[in-house]
Amino acid sequence: MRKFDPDTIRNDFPIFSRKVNGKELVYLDNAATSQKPKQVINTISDFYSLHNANVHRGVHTLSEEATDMFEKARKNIAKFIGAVSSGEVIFTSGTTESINFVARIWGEKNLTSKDEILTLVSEHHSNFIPWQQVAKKTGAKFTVIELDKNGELDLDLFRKHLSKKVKIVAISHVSNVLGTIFPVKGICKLAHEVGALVSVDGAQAVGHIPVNVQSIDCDFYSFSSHKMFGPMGVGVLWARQEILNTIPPFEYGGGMIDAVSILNSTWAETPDKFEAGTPNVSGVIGLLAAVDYINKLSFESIREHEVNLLKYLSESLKKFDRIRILGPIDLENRAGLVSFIVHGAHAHDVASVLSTYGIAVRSGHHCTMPLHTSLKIPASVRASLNVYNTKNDIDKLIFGLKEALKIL
Amino acid sequence: MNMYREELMEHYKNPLHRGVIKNPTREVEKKNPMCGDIIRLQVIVKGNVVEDVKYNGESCAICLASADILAHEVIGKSVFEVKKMSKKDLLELIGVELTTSRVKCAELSLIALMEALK
Repeated sequence: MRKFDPDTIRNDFPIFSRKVNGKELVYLDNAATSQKPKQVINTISDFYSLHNANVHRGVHTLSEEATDMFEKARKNIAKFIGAVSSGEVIFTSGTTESINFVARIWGEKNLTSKDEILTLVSEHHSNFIPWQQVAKKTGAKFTVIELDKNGELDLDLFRKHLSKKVKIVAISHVSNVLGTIFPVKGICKLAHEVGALVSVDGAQAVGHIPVNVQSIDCDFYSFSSHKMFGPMGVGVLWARQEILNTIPPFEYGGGMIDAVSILNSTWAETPDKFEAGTPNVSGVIGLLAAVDYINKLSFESIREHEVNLLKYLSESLKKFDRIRILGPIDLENRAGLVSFIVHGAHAHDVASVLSTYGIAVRSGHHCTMPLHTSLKIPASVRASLNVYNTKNDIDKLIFGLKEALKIL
Repeated sequence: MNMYREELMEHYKNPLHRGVIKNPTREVEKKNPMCGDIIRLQVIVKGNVVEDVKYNGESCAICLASADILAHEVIGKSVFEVKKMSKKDLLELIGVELTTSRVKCAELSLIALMEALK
């Protein structure tokens, strides 16, 4: 394992060579999207410059090259998340599409008015609305579980909600606001005991903490490329092979058929059955470059680096009387992000002032209106970390916050 | 910084028209779903004149200061005249350069006022 050095890592990310409002960029909006290393950017550029062709369609050299690159990506991404086979990896446009797929295709086929869906109040809208809407459509009960005062899930409370009626538990691996790392493995064990399936939203987890779908023992796992150094517009839905075999296609079109006649069509095997139309080939290949990048850094070092920064960030924020941090106190249960409220100042104003110092943070309700309503706050500020962040970034954030509090 | 110049912050910290009217002619609540800003704006209209405007809300400084400036500008004017006000007019009144996302914060009170005067 080579020494983990954020300053060297920063050299891989071209964006840090630009100035923002005349200042060096302090990028602390990683939970929204990560920056991209040159390894990913170059891979995409090389694909369009040297290999561009459609996949699975031609016998000419370029098409075969593109197909090989695309399927190699599927194989290595499957390995990266511990899938049993690459047939379990379906490429989508991102976590949102992956979850909509599960809610609509699996949900509408399997849920009735006798069933129940369990989710958490902290879910991102993309893991909340699809289930809320499938509940309306099928008549299934939609139950939203509150978190404890530290933003963690009390497993005893969760257990109390479980019954034979529960058919699916939709939960995030990591909360995008509270940073809570939820005990997905334990949740899956409990859910399976009553015969429920578990769909995990992994958007904030992959690339930050180790993810192995077989070890978690979930049934569906969704994540996005762009939050883990890959390009935007591509993501993954992983599902157990035996579940995929029982569900119908999501969309119809080219590349997903076995045979088509005037009156009937039959479908290809998974994963092709679920990938109608030309896929985002450059995106998928770019995602593989991102996976390679993460593997090279290693999860252990990424997590260690983020926890160190998280401790420093959290200690620095605690020194402000006007700041209240949301989420788990125990940093071992928290991913590398901190949301906070500033008494007497709106999150947008804080973020606007920080932006003039070249500091990028997120402000607002972070697509979690039910959580903000439950916490009785209109908005919060979020600083989220990644491999290229340094203590210097946090010092600059703290300086920016002091300046903001003078004005606001 | 320019966006938070003193005159604007004065309207935010020591507002002239923030509050609640007991018997308003109309009241409108507007939200900006992207950021969570909420503004409740009330008007009293008598004989086609905007006699009073008050507002309240959980919003950012830009949104609240803009509402205060707007209220101060329109009180005493005819409904006809106020209805002619554009986003550009409001931004000129505010007098600071706002980024694209923050223009939406500033505009929320104007949208609420126009609806209240419909």
